[in-house]
Amino acid sequence: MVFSAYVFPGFLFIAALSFLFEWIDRKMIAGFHGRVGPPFYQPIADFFKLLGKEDITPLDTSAWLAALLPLTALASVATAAASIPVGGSTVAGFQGDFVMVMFLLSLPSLLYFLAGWICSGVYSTLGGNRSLLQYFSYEVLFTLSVSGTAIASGSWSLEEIINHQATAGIHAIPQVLGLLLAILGLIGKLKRAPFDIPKAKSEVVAGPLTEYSGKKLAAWYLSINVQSVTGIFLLINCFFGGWFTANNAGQLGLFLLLAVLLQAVLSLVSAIYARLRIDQLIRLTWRVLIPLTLVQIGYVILA
Amino acid sequence: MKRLLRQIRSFFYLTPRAIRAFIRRPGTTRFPYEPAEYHTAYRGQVRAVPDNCIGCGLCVRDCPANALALERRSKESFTLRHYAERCAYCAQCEYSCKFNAIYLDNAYRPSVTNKEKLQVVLVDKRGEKGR
Repeated sequence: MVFSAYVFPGFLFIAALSFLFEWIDRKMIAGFHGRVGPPFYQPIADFFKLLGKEDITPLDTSAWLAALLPLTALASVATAAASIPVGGSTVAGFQGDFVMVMFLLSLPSLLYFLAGWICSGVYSTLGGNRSLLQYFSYEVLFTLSVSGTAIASGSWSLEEIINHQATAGIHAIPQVLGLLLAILGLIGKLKRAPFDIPKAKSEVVAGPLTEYSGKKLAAWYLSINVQSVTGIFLLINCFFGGWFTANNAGQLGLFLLLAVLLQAVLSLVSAIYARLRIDQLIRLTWRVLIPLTLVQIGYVILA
Repeated sequence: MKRLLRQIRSFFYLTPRAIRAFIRRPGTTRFPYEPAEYHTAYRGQVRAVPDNCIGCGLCVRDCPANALALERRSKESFTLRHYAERCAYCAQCEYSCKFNAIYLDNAYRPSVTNKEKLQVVLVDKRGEKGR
């Protein structure tokens, strides 16, 4: 239990994978741009460099709250990661862990908003407000599109969703629209381009993380990376879960291969599309994408 | 309908280009570990051909940034120094030189932590008296 919670599908494995996936992401985006890209140890080197940097808290900012927010975000995504099966093996699952994972994955976005709100910096406050505005568009999209798999399986348990797919076939085939919409929702959740409105470099520097530095920034980056890996794993379990019922090395390899493919899709999208404006994003999600999700869910319920 | 189709096609406009860039050789290199290729017209470090130099001082006279210094001890014995921190890399010295003794090659000058290293002795000729 201790081994599974801390080492193999637990926190250390997920943290190591999150660094690996960040490297894959950066390398792929560099490839799409025609650049060489960083060496594989770059994300780890960046993390440890940040740990050694001076930790500055701006004036009029609550120091303990500024330290608590990234740690809470990290704890919530690590807890979500513990409930997600990796290639068939999981740390702890229970009835309704799907709902818990959805909640814990959306918590960092709210904490991200708070991180901007407690800071006295203008860019932080602006980025925080933008993050909250964006939250109400992609979160509905992501939750609805991923819920289609739970409705089709008739259970809110991730294990049940996987077992249902083992007998009835994977959800990705009848719900391919839901998969594409869930990927778009995940892009919004991870604040990647083209939905990187809260941390738009050319407008609000780094959004809510502008005033962060040192260990707190490292915790933020780690939590965002773990959130990215957890979101990718959630999508794979919900849409391709039927292939990962037994716990062996071949299935783990296939699982990670699928995860890398999904990461490649995310990298390609963020490499080739420019950032949307906030009104464009909200109009797109509420007028086009969410009605499409409702069509998908209606199809799942009626079929 | 036609407009919608055009919009959809424009949405995927960059995708094949990005994938082609991914497959091709990247346009950059990992610079400190691999040699960097510069354009032949890139004005990098100032070099000299000591055999051609007669120490006439034309380059020193024409240098707009005062980056060259000639220390003359006798007709045969002189030292030409280059101060890289003052140099504007305009290549005026190359144009002024009548003996093709000074030129700018396209090698990159790496940054230094010690300012003394920016002073380079280009030509150091010792006369017959050996002063």
